[in-house]
Amino acid sequence: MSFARGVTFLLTGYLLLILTGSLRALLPFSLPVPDVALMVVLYLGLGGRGAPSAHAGVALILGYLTDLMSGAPRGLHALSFVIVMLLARAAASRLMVSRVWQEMVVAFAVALGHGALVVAVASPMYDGEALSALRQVPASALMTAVIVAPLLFRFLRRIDRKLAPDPRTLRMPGS
Amino acid sequence: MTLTRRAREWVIVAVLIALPVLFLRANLKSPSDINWLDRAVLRISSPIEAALTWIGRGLGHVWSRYIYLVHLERDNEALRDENARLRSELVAAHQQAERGGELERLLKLRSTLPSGVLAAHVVGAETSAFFRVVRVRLDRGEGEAKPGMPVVSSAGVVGRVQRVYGPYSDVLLAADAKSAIDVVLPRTGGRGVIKGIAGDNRYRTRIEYLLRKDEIAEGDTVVTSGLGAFPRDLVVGKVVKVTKRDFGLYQEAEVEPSVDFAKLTEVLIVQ
Repeated sequence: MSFARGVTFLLTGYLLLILTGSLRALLPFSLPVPDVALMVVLYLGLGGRGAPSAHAGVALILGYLTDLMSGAPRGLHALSFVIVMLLARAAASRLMVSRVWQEMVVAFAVALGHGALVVAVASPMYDGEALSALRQVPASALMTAVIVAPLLFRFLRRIDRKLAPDPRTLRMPGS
Repeated sequence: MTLTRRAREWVIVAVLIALPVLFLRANLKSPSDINWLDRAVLRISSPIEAALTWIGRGLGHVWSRYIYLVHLERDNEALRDENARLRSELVAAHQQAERGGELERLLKLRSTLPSGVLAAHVVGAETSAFFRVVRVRLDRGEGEAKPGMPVVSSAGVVGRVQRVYGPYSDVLLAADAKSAIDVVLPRTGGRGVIKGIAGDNRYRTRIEYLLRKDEIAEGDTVVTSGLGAFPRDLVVGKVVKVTKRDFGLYQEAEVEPSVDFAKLTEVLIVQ
């Protein structure tokens, strides 16, 4: 992963986090919170290109920003995002994610797993109410998978296309 | 990727996993503590978020205002429609009241008339500028009209039945040039014949054959004399202009009909 790509995706995730916060403040009713930054991490992980450390770094920073923006204990999302990134990278070659419904299914499964992971990691904070906290995970995962993932993946693909090097400028090694 | 490079990658990844764990442990102990990096990130993020929220609220206000205006416009339209409906109902009520008054007056007139009458209502007006004719239809249950029968309204003389076809009749108005109705000036007793003035879009009449020696003045009332088909003392109109001549036997006077032919709706045909 190039530096530019990493920074671009970081900034995108960061702005999406801010936007989500604003929208939540504006909505007059309560909705399950979609995990937008997680979808950026998933997208990068499923792409599977570049060094895993770079991907993990981006996931860590995005997780850190998520922690700060969401008021979660710092390190919680940073840790879970890195794990999701690595798992997504590992599964990328075995998963076929090209259609929208496939994106939705994978996004739902990842969001569900991530929610469970977050609750599990943060369970000491819940004072034995971790199981109750799990109840909100499916709705949030559904929201993330159905509403956010398809749109966000399309948007991120567009960014990737913009960042892709022009084939006319590519040189064969030794030429 | 070489083994060293791969190992280095995984070491970095392990550090990247360990780092948040350490952060998390520290943060779980004292969650309210934030370092300079956290503070810097939040100082940058918060104004952006606030600005976005402010813009969103502004847009929300504009949108809700727009929705409100849409509702307002809808309400306005409904009220306008209701207003128009009520106005038309009011006009209809006024017309009904006027008609009721007219019918009442006609009934009074009917009782004063010596002979029987047929009630009719106007269904059509003249279609030619040269003929002052209205079409009337006898009301249900009424008898039969005949040509030459006088037609009156509560305001006065209307004209004479010209043609009859079934329940319908054409009435030659007193304002038609072919009409001739014998009249009298009650104030002076002068007699004459009312005829319509042709070549005018207005319904105007004049008295002919009024002797020059008879006194006449503007404002004098003109009534039927009782000669001919018309009963006596039916109001025909008011003198509005007198043309005195120094020669000849007769003088002329323009008479404004008491009946507004343009608004004629109900009439009585005197049998």
